Amino acid sequence: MNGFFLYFTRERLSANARLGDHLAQAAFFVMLASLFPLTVGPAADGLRLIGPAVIWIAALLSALPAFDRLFCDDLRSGWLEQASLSRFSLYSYIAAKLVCWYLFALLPLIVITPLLMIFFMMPLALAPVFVSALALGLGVLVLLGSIAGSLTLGARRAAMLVALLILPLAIPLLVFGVLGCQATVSGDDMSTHFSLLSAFFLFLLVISPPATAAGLRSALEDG
Amino acid sequence: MDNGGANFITGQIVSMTGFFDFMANPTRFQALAGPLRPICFWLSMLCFGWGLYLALLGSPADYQQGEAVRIMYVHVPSAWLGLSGYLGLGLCALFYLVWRHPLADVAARAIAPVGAGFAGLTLLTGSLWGYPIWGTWWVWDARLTSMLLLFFFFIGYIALANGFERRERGARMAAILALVGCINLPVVKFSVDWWNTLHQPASILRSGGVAIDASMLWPLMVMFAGFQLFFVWIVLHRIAWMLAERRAEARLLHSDKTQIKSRTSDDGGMG
Amino acid sequence: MPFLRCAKKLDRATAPAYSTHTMTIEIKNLALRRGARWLCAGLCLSLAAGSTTVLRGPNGSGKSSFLRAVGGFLPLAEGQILYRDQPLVLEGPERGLNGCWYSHKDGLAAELSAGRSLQLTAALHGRNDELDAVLAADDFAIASFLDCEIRSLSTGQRQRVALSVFCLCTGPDYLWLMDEPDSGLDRQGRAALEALLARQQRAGGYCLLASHSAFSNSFSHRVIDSGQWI
Repeated sequence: MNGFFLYFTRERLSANARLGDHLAQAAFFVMLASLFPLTVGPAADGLRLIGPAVIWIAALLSALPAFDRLFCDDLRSGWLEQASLSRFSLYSYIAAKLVCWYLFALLPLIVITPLLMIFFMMPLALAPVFVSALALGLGVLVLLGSIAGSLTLGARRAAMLVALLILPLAIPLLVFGVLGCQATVSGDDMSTHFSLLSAFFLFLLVISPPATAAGLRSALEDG
Repeated sequence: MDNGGANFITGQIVSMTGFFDFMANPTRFQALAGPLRPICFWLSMLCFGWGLYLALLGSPADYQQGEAVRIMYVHVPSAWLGLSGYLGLGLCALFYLVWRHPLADVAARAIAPVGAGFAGLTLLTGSLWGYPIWGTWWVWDARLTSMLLLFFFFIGYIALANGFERRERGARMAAILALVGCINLPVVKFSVDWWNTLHQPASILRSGGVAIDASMLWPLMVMFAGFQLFFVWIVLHRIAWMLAERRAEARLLHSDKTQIKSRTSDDGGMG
Repeated sequence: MPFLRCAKKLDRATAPAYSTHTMTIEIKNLALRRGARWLCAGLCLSLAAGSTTVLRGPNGSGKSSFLRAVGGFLPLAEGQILYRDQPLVLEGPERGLNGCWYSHKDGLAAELSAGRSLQLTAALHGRNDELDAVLAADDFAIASFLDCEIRSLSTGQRQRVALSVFCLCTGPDYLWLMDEPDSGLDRQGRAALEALLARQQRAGGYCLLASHSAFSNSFSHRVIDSGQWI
């Protein structure tokens, strides 16, 4: 059996059993975003102006707190030890973990984005652009989250640390993503922003797995 | 299979003089850094005295900014030190991860708060400088924003390095973070510039900009030397202090390697 | 230099016991450290194929750390662990031996059934879909709760499930590293564990385990007390 497939099977089965946790995250996303019309005011112009930024920040903030649990359960249950003494490379474990996390924890946020676009008075014709941009952006976030999640394994107040570590690193993600979405709303050229976002994704695709693996190996020292 | 009989387990006291040995190295470091520290300190004080004289009295006021430009002589050197402090952090991290040299961790921990302090000083002086020029304490200028993010990077490093029960764990995790941060810093800087050019076409503050007059460059350089020496002095001081602390801890644990020795035994049997 | 001296001593001591040094795992001049505290230094030990070594010692004597070092989790402060004259690698495609790890953290997925969890762990060592083989032997009498979720099982039952994986992983390609495998087992479970260890020994595999209790003479093993290795 292929290593990725094996790890993915286990992740999928476990995540299925905990689907509720992940859906709660999507509910938080909607609640967080709906606070803005309630505080800023319901005027359509203002909402359209802040809409892209709010959607991205809300997605970031609702996805963020869960990243301390990304590898935590596996370390506690001992699966991480089993995985790192197996015939498969640790990278296939990391890849399966991230893909599964993306599908279960982050995909609900992406799917529900059109609803928030309605909240913020944006035309639904733009939904494909928003959804695909957010899909890419959360791909970036999962790569950052994997670094932060592995580095905070076994730390006190891990959830707080994860936020402290991810937010400064996630600035390019927010800048490129929000600027691209704003350009879409105002009808300007958005391709440059999204190309830069893709470049950032590829860049993290290179540095995130080794950093994550180093963090996991270090966490295994203590047992 | 063969219980008893052969002697499987044997050992002896190992010599203490490995180059990377934690206990041996600090002594060598102290021998080097001990005399260096007062030299750094007094040289930096000398530079400060001379530089401040030049900056406050010996150089002209700017034709646009007036006397406010004199903040530059503090602002620009501390910005450089904030940035180079983070690079130093990355370098130490690399040393620590590749050679597992404990001194690299000590150095990184010594640098981090100092670097954060200089980044903070940059923000403070930037805002003091901005008030007479822009009429507001804070402007989302690309340079100031980048410096703010650098400050956040430092905070993240310090929080992670101190976030673990066991210090060595924090050391490794924080070293990985510092390395990732160093690789990521140019990208973050680029994204901030990108964002800034779209929102604000030009900024007034071109600190340490292209066309600086020689009369201003000279005091700036002297002040920079002073800041640099002061940075080195305070980091060396912190390293020495941390090493002393660790030595005391090690003594408390009775954990000299020489005290631990594997005995040779012949029984090896069923016990 | 210390390394050479150590190797010499080892030669003199073990030469009569094993002619083929390549088939043993040689631990040479090992030193381990946690923070500023040294756990052991200058430790030399060889694990032969088909031998069982039991580490014994009080809590905090470093048994688990030693196992973690052999498993490759804890970096060696000094020294080497060699297999076929190469540093021992237990993980990934270029591994020298398959490492099978047991500790009280059993690695089972709380949300899945015992059978599924067992299958997944066995698949890590390339033993796919061989649940039938486990059940055929069923040393640990796990058939009755194979369909229960792991989180509904007792500690002892989980331990039996985790140990059943080892039934599939016997032979000279496998190094067993077990941290207190007998701690929660009843008498029947202990007997099954001893039978399992004996089977690994007959198959010519490697086994290093840490335990507080003495094993019966049903299989030959060598006990190393903490006084001897610390």
